[in-house]
Amino acid sequence: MTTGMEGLEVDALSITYPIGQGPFRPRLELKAVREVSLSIAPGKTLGVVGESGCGKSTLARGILRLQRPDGGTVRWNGQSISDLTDDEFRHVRPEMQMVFQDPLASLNPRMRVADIIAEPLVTHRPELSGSKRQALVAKAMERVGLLPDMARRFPHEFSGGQAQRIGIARAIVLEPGLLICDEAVSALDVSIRAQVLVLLEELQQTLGLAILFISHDLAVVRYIAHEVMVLYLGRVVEHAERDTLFANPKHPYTQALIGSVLSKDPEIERSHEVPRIGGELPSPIDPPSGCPFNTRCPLVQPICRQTMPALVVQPDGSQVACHVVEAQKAA
Amino acid sequence: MHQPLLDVRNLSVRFQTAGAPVIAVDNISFSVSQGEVLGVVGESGSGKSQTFMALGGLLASNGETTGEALLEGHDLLALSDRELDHIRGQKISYIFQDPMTALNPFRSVAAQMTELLRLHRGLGQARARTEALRLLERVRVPDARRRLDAYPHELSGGMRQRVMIAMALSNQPRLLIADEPTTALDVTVQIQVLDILDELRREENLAVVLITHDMGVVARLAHRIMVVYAGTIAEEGEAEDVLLRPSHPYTAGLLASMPDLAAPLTQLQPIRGYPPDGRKARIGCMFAPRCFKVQPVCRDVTPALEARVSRQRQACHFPLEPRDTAIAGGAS
Ligand SMILES: Nc1ncnc2c1ncn2[C@@H]1O[C@H](COP(=O)(O)OP(=O)(O)OP(=O)(O)O)[C@@H](O)[C@H]1O
Ligand SMILES: Nc1ncnc2c1ncn2[C@@H]1O[C@H](COP(=O)(O)OP(=O)(O)O)[C@@H](O)[C@H]1O
Ligand code: SF4
Ligand code: SF4
Ligand SMILES: [Mg+2]
Ligand SMILES: [Mg+2]
Repeated sequence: MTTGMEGLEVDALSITYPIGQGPFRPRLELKAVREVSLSIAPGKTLGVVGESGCGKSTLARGILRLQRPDGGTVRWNGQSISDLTDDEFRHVRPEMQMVFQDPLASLNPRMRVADIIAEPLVTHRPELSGSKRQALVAKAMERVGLLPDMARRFPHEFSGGQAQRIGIARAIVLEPGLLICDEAVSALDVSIRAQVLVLLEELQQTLGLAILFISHDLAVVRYIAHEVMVLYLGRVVEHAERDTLFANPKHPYTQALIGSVLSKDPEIERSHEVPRIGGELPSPIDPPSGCPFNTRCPLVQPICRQTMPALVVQPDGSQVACHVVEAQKAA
Repeated sequence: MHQPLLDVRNLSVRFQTAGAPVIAVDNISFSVSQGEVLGVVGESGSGKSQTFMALGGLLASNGETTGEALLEGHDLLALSDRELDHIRGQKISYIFQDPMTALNPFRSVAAQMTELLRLHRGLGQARARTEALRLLERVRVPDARRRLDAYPHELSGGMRQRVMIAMALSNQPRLLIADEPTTALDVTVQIQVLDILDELRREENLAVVLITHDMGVVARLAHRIMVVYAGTIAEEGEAEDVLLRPSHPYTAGLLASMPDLAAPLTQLQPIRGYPPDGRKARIGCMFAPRCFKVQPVCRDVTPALEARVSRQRQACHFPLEPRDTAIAGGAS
């Protein structure tokens, strides 16, 4: 099936990990991603936030078909990639690239920088001549701010920030349409993180990239993303335009996340009250019935323990899954 | 107001390597008082951890230390290993980023805590268990009685870090060195753990050294901040002064590199370039290759750490005046 939509469209994607398998153990399921829908147009960035274990990386893996979904579809430029054979998918895959968290660990230590960056070209554009390939590698290196004399060096000779530039150069050398950044700046130092964020902004403008930007750092997400999606136990609890979400977060979980972020201004920070969210993330193997957030929510009502709130569009265009938000709207 | 507890003078740490030696810490002096949180910030490799590892005799075997570190009159760097073990057991505790590396995965929380309590405080088994429970409650572990018999993998990251803090308290230390204690935690848990540290500081009159990359962490807790760059102190002063009116171009650059939810959204202004390698020759200001205010003299003459333009001390020939700070994009 195809639609006219350019960019990425994900519809009701669900991904389950089988766990605890063994001859004498019951077969358990961990529902890591539940009916997640999103779309990202070229030139736009969607930020995905949530505590660790909420399903962010699994979502990324599902989109890239690194993990088999148990429901839902993924479309790229209108074409469903969920129904493609592996062979057919190989032609689409160059369009979609990923940048990982640990820059050094994701680079082959025995390969020179130029060969690392050239690898996707060798795989997906084998018809290119050696000199054409070199030219594309040089262009990618220039785009990410690596100097030409670095091409012959090995990854261990680079700092984390430089290694992440190599990772980004490899991801953009095929001029993809979609870049998935999974905690891509989280391991970087503050000053280098800022360099990489500015670089991603520039690359997005020159290449028209659609970016799925996964991070647990809300301040970074506000900086880079146009829209933000908040996940909790694999489900979307809120999804809104960047300014709407940060100025007026509606879901109690979003409010708690934003309310927990520290400011570098000591005058603000000294009087910053800690949001009252109780306890800890429940086990994703045995999530609470009803609203997944009901074990920690300061606003919990009896209905929250029975019925799962639907993701509902709000007057300002945001989407929120919460009974109390719905009740307030009706009142 | 405060009584100085730790007084470090001219501390250097170098590591012998196959090539040139690595100078990890270069002749730094500072002090920490009881009841005070000293925030130590700076980028990866700047020497934050090695400074404080040196005080506990915890450097890797290729590391060497020079200088003095007086803790209640004892020079930690001049003690024999046995004497140092004794002082460390009695007065200093460490908390690290990853509690999993410090906890034994095969032993229950109770077993690990009672062992420490018997060792440090000579308590019998029953009293050690009661004390372990008290310490867990002290760091607000909910349902502490049940968690006492849990194994580390059965606890969340936040709970493990609380257990680590409880264990760090078992020797009733005077100085708590917390090296990135909340870096691995989710924001919702981070703020809880920080507030526990602050409560301990207040109620037990502890001196706390808080090592972090995150300016927000020191903004919440630190009274004083020491900004470290390439093994030297770039700037040191009251938290308000350093964060709101940074005087060193590096501090201003770090602040301008960090987006802040509490401030209007503005374009980030990254510091150009990368931090130097520890093997690099140490001539002039180490920040010169990245500094937007660099002058020829900076490359030749090492700036001393002194108060030139403001209350805080800065190692910079051309420090920022408070009014420049806005231009550098420093504080929000
Ligand atoms: N055993 C060792 N041999 C050689 N060099 C070392 C050794 N241990 C540390 N270093 C070097 O000492 C310097 C300071 O390291 P340190 O661990 O104090 O940094 P840090 O500021 O704590 O950084 P991070 O924020 O990454 O924890 C670095 O250049 C590091 O590479
Ligand atoms: N390969 C796997 N097998 C079983 N469970 C997994 C696997 N990968 C992730 N999980 C679980 O799926 C959930 C979501 O994980 P993940 O997508 O990595 O979260 P995030 O990236 O948001 O931290 C977590 O509960 C995690 O423990
Ligand atoms: S549905 Fe109920 S438990 Fe869930 S977030 Fe809303 S108020 Fe809280
Ligand atoms: S001494 Fe010179 S190079 Fe160093 S921080 Fe100051 S102005 Fe910049
Ligand atoms: Mg992840
Ligand atoms: Mg360190």
